[in-house]
Amino acid sequence: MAEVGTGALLLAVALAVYAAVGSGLGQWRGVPELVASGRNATYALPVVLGVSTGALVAAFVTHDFSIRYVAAHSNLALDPWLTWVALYAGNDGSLLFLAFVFSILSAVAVWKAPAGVRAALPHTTVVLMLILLFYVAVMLTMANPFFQTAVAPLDGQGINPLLTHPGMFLHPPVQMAGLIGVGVPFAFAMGHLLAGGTGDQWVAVARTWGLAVWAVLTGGLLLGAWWAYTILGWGGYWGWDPVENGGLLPWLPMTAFIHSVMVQRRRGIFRMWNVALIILAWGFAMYGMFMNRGGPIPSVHSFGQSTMGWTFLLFLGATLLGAFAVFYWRYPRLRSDRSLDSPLSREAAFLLNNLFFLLIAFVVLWGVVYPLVSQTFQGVTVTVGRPYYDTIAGPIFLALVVLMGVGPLLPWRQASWRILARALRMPMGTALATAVLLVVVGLRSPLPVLAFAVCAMVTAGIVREWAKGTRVRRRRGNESYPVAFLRLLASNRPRYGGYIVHLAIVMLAFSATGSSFYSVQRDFSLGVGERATLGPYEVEYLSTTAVPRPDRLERSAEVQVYRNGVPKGTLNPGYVYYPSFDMSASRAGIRSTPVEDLYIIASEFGEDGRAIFRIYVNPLVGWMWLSGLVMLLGTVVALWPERSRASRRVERPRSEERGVATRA
Amino acid sequence: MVGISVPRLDASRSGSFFLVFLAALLAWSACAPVAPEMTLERRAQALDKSLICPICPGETIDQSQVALAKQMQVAVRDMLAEGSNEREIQDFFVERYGESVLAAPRKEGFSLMVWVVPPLGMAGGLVALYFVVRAMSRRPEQRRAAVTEGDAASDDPGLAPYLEMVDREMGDATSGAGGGSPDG
Repeated sequence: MAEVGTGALLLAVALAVYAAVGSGLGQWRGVPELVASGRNATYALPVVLGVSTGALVAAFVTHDFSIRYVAAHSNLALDPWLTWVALYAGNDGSLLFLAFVFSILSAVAVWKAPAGVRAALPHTTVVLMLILLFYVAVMLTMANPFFQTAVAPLDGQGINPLLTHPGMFLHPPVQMAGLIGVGVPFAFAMGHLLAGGTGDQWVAVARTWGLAVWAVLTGGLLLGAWWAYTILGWGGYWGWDPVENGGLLPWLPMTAFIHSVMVQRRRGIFRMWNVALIILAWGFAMYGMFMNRGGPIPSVHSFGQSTMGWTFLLFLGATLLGAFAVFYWRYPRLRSDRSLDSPLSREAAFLLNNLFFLLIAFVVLWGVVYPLVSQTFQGVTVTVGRPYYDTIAGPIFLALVVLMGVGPLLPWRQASWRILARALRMPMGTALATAVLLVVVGLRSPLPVLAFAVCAMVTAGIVREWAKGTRVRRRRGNESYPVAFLRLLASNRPRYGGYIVHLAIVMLAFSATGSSFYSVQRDFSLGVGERATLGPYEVEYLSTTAVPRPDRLERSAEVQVYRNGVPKGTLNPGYVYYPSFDMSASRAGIRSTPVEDLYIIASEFGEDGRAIFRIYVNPLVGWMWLSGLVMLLGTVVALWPERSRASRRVERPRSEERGVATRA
Repeated sequence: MVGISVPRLDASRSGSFFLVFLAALLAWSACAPVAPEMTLERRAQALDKSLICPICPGETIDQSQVALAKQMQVAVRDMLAEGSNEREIQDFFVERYGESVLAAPRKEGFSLMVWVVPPLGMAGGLVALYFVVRAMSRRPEQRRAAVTEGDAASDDPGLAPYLEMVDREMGDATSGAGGGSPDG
């Protein structure tokens, strides 16, 4: 197995070099056959890297402990279904996963490249292959997953217990795919600059890939939050931990990018800006991958400690330097001849949106960097954690949600305060009514009331648009309300898909506000038969069980839950102890309703069964996981290909180009 | 929002209404007490969240499951019961474990930088945005050209009458394709 795997990796290096050189040289010398041959090499790479991945899977399944990676991340007792997790549980395997995913994405990107970017495709291929080459080369020289030890151990060490959780089946692969995926729009941008384009031809493809990658990144972050919520056992889902920040950082410029690329598509402005954003996003994505690999800052999430981080940092630096050099070289061609018509327009709102997203990125980066600054200049080690991020980034996020309610109501080019005031009247009225209602109901802190009111405002704005369109359609086309509504959505999928995603963001903000301001918690020491009360909930400790397994001890309590005296079923909070790692992972008992989660952790079981229970009541958390599904739906709607109109849509920027040319 | 006809309200009036509402909310945010009354346990929980467990990377003693974190929680409660205030308790742990035991640096001395740099960046960003928008807007001859060129409206000719109607309903003749832009 090891020979097959390593052999495939070596072949992958050869193919990637051939694809890069063939595409580059063929384009330079004008040999179309060479370019085509290079392109075919990119199609072969997923197959070759697939063989390599398959070899690793086979080694896991056959318990080939002569392979160091297999011995380090599995043992004979390993459930076969955990092989998928073991595949990326460590540094070496996760690199193979990244390379495999990137080879697939590259092949699809090259294969599906629309006509507009065909001219720049050889250049794009070179960039894609250089990125892939880096990963495979690092693997072969520093972290070969097929490295064999002289003497095979009888049993392996087993898998990190924190990873044996359903969340781990999805979160790491989705997160990694999202991070490496940023490389594709980046490669399109770079290829286009290298080929000497003005930057308008790549926006259609950049929007498609940008949105898809954005959705995957968002999914990765939410799945990570869900995993942290159910297994880390502190009742929260986001801790502003260095690795979490590493995942959030590329998400911020990506979000800015998918917004401002629409402006370029529609109006032909922000050309340089979009290129700068995608370079930034790729830089942060590489930083995120570097953080996960034994970076300089400790974290609960980093798996695979090694010095490899510094190789990543070097590659990151070189890539950014190269990318900005190309940017600077091609800068004159990117100048757009069009301008902003008014500071009060949708274009300007997009600029403000970009500023806010970049500011959050700056805030996060500053929080990550400051400990190093303090260390260097003061010699004092400090922590920059949650209080900093909540205080500084929280208000900017709120401002973004406000902008999300206002921006889509603004027309392109030019608006007037009159128009804006009229469009905002209903949403603002809803916000005011919500605020008054919340105060009457008994909420007293101003910040959450403001946040809830803002959520109401955005929702009202979206519902107003939908209701208006549906009504008009119904009256004009004699359609029933549901049909009119669905046809309205179908009539302009990018627009209405975007609205659905905005609704998901509102749900996210709603959930985050509720759970950060109104969560309550309490510790109880309970013996069997005793009860504890927190808010409307009463919890009765019924019994405890301990189940020994080959590799672990599962300890849990059974508790009966009452809400306002009404029985609401039982929960089984507890933990799993892994002797070979001397590590335990908590398994929270969670009862989720749309209003609130009851979240129970049990630990420190005594001889007589007495245990420590930490009980949380976390309002509105369930909406966060729901928002992920809605976001996915919105992205699919926005990306759904439109058969008949697709070609015309691509034409438009060019016709605008012509318009400019004739005027000049 | 299902009313058939949208009554027209004087724009300046609804605009000022909006501003008054915003100002009221902000004023309330500024002067309302942060929390009505802090029981000892709530103060203890707030302190738990402000102290990092020295032996577990990046976790507060509230989050961490290790024994040391539990002992620190007990110490926090003991000191609070004896009448120590937040500052004294944090100082006690800083003396033992160093500055890094605080979840975020204090707003004083060199550490003030942590808190001051982001607002400065924000101010700088807004100023930069102002100049960018001004520079981008200052091309009147092009603006005229752009306006005469008009907007390509929607890509769907069948939808155009609906959109027109939407616009008419909004009483908004200048927004052109605002309601039906393909990129929304």
